[in-house]
Amino acid sequence: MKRYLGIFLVVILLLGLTGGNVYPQAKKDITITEMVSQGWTTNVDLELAKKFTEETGIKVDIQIVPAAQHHDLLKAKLNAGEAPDIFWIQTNPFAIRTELDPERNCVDFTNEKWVKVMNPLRIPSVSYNNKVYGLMLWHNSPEFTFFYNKTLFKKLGLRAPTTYRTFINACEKILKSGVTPIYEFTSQGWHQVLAFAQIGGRYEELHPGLYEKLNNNQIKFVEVPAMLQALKQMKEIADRGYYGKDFLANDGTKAVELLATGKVAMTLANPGLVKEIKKAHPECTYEWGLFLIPIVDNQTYPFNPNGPARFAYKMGKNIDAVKRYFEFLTRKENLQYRLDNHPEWTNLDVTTKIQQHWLPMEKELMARIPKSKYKLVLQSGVKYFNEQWMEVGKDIEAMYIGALTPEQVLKNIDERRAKMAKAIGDPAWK
Amino acid sequence: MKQEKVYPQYFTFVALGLYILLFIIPSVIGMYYSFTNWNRYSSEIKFIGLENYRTIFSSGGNYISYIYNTLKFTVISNVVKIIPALFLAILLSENLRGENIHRAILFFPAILSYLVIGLIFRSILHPQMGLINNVLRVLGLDFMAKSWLVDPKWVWPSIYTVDAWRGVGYVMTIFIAGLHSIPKYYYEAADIDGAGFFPKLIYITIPMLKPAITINLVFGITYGLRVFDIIFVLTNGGPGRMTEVINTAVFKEFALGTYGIGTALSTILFMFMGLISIILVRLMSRREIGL
Repeated sequence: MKRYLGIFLVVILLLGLTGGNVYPQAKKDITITEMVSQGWTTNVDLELAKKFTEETGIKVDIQIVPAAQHHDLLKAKLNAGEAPDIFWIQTNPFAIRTELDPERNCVDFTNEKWVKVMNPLRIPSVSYNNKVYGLMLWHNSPEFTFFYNKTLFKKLGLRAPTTYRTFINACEKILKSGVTPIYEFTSQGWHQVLAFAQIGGRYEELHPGLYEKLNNNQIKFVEVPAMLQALKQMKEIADRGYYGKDFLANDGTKAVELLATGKVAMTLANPGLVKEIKKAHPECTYEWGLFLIPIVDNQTYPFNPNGPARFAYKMGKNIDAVKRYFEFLTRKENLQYRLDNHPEWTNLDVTTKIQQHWLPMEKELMARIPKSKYKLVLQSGVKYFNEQWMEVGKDIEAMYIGALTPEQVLKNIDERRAKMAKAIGDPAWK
Repeated sequence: MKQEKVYPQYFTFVALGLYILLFIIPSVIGMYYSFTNWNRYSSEIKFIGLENYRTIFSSGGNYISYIYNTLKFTVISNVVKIIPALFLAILLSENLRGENIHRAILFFPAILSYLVIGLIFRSILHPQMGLINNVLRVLGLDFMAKSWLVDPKWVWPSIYTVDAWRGVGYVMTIFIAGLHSIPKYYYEAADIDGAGFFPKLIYITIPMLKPAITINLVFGITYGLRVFDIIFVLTNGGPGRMTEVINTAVFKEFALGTYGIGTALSTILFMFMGLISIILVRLMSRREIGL
């Protein structure tokens, strides 16, 4: 009898271990930890996590970190061997090596079915040595162009500027009308870098082959006149008061309110901002538009196949649960749910056929710019720049308060690039 | 005269061994790493001599300003805490009504987490929406409304103020304990001689409070040199790099993966702390001999 009981128990145990899904059955008390920067997540992530818990019993503890601290905190956690199960970084094909050291820190997802859900153009940004490590579910809207109040521009007899000079003239006129021309915010540390980095295509246009030379250490940032000019123009914009009086204290949270109430005329944002304005201020009747950042007379479209992506910690204890979670997030119905309920996005860049919600203004901008003007942004084309994004943000802030000159900002970028390249053992820096 | 020894010396060996294992050895290893190119990107660690220190003392002055900021914070934050704390302690040792409630209120900020303090004060000190500026505007004192945490002129005073708000209760508590140990008859004798508040303060209170002052100075100086949290939560080193200190820089170096430079900065901090501790210990021993 005892022998049969033993066999019975073993069979029950085996059934328990092998039964159900392709992934081992999750225990009820599993909690996946996920660390994400404030600006990359919305309530949709919380709602999807809740749905996932209802389906599997696995909880997802999403830890939202202020943008200014996320990068340093994540790196410190990775370096200390205490990273959460899932973490996010702003990806690009270079950053994945320098930011994550994926072979050491990240779970290899190459054979997961959901890899094919991502746009193939995005896969290199989450891959290293032909292995896929990340899941990027991001939009494909025109990224960080000027989002402006068309109604106000028309009222003041202004058109969307295409050169720096016309931009300055427009700002001056707007300022004189009692409206702050631009809503800029520096206290989160990242936004101020966009005006410099999103026009990387213009630098490349003015100095052909620049990205390659920078990546081969044949030229330094400080030796590129267009970059110096860009920073000088950004400083001029700040000094002329076009960002408003206390822009250094702004953290981005007032953008919707200030735009909707006509207190500011424009900001560097994604077009989906219009959805937020409509939701928070249904009474607002302003018409909105987009134009390219005209610093250094830029008219290149900021092409960027990269974006924030999720990665899983190789030393984490819940890898199977994370795999189930990623599979869940990439199901068609959940992709559609994400897009339909996202406060900002108008599209989701995936291969799965879902219903997209492109806005007329983004379609109009994309149609207006010839494909030959679609140029890779600086952070995606140049090595060792994206990794120091927040540091560059600090330097630009220092430039705005007069503590650093534009030349010093560029020199600091070069110094940090050299430091990282040498640490990695990049042959171009030997 | 030789003092009578109660316990044999080998009783200290276990504690000493643990101290060496947990403090001395890691510190020495840390110092060694400051002479290497230790970083996150390569598993090979090479000895590079003084290269990291050269980087610190020669790269555009940034690191020098972090060291300067740390020393400046150490001095000023102690001054703005110790002096008010002394007067508060005297005030709250005068048998005031509800003095325990006052003490508790003053001590309360010391138990709050830095993160909470950071969030509260970033909101209170916001130039447009902050409580302080709004109150000033309501009172018609618009000219006094400042960009507290982003104006280069006001950012340090704002940090010192918040730091003092948090720390003054703690310093005051140590002073209160010190004040209770001063025999009352000194003051009674001084009263008979007709001494006022300040002569009593200078000739009785302060000399008798020297041990408490020394403790507060030691705590304050070591806190000041190691400062990180309050800066990180209030300004994260900004605006620009105006309020960066050694430990925020160490944190950033570790985040960048350049551990070698990070450990070199930590070593510099250690040297400062070591030097100041030796001076303080010497001063304390001299005082003890004097007594």
